[in-house]
Amino acid sequence: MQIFDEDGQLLLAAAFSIAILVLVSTVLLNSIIFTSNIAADSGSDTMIYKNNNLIQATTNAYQNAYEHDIGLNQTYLSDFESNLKRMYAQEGYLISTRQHDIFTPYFTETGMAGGAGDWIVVKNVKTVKNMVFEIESLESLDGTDFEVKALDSNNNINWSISYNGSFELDNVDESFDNVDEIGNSTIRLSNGNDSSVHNIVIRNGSQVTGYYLIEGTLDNSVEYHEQRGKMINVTFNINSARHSTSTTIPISLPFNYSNNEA
Amino acid sequence: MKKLVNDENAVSVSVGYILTFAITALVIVLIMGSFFMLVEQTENRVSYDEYKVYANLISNQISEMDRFIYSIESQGGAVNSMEYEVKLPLTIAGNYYTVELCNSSEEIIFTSQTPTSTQFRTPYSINSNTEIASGIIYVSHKNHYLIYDNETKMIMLE
Repeated sequence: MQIFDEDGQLLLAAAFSIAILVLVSTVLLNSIIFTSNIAADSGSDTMIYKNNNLIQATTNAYQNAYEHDIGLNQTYLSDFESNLKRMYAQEGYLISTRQHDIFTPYFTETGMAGGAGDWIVVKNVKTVKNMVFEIESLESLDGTDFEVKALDSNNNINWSISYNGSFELDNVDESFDNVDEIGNSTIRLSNGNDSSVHNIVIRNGSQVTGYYLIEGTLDNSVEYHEQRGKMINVTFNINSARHSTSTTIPISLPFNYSNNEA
Repeated sequence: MKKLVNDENAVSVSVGYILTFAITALVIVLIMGSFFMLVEQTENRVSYDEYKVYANLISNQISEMDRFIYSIESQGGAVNSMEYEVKLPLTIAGNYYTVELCNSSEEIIFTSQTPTSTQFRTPYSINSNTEIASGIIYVSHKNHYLIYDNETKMIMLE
């Protein structure tokens, strides 16, 4: 046997390189298989945004379609809905809406019976140009009054209006140029004086139904316009291949108080 | 002095072969053992990464549903029903697995159906009055959904 026999060296080298090749291809193949397993479908879904857009667009449409004393313009709404359906169908969504009855809201944060009765209507108010409260019905208040108050940052009362069958005013005549009480259920105030920055709050709103409008200027000179007339519940159904959602939303309709003069 | 290299006294060809064969076999066994260990480690790592991706996806979807429900309820509305498909692959790194929603620890737990049971946990967060129904699913060919039940105010995975 000859240890220094150099024949067959080439074979050895070839075998070695083949072995290396096999090893490399195995490792490569392995990583390819694992990479192909990595989650590809990890993008966030836009369903929620679609839903919110739909609700926003429909809310605007209902507000535009509402005409005081006439009610909702159904032709406008059905045109709007068929356009909306066509628009969403192109993106693979099937939508439908359903109207419920129009109702008078509570003076709660959401307007619904279960909403918060003590809440802030407008923050950081500088002046009140117009304010109307129209009370439609009063449930049991348990000895407490329904109140609308202007509170400054130290919770001092600038003025307040309380109601328990009739209005009681505190410092209101001094704060507004015009104060009109119409019957026992409507109060209109206009041209409020400049005062320290305050929040307008409602207390015990969950037992009283009716409408309101408050407009004026905020501390940062931005105009504000808060109102709530009648409300309507609308049910939205939105379906796609991968999702379905059904939501009922109360929509606040505009309060056209100028037509409402007694 | 005898030549050290070319001295062939006490050299048997068959013993040489046996020695060479034994050493080769030993080396091959060692290489194979470490190779399989390496593969298993890679598998665990890949499973872990994959579980992380899918668990975060589910967590994200739960948060989105929760946010939507919260925004609707704060406007005084109600979500009557909501279904959200969760796309899960049948196997991850070649292994079947389970997905568990755990209400008490607020976690999503992925566990592989292998002897080593690779596990991944990720927390989810809920802000509205909604709760998550605890439950475990064995991922199969059918579609899986996150479903919101308005009666119980619970989100469950089915």
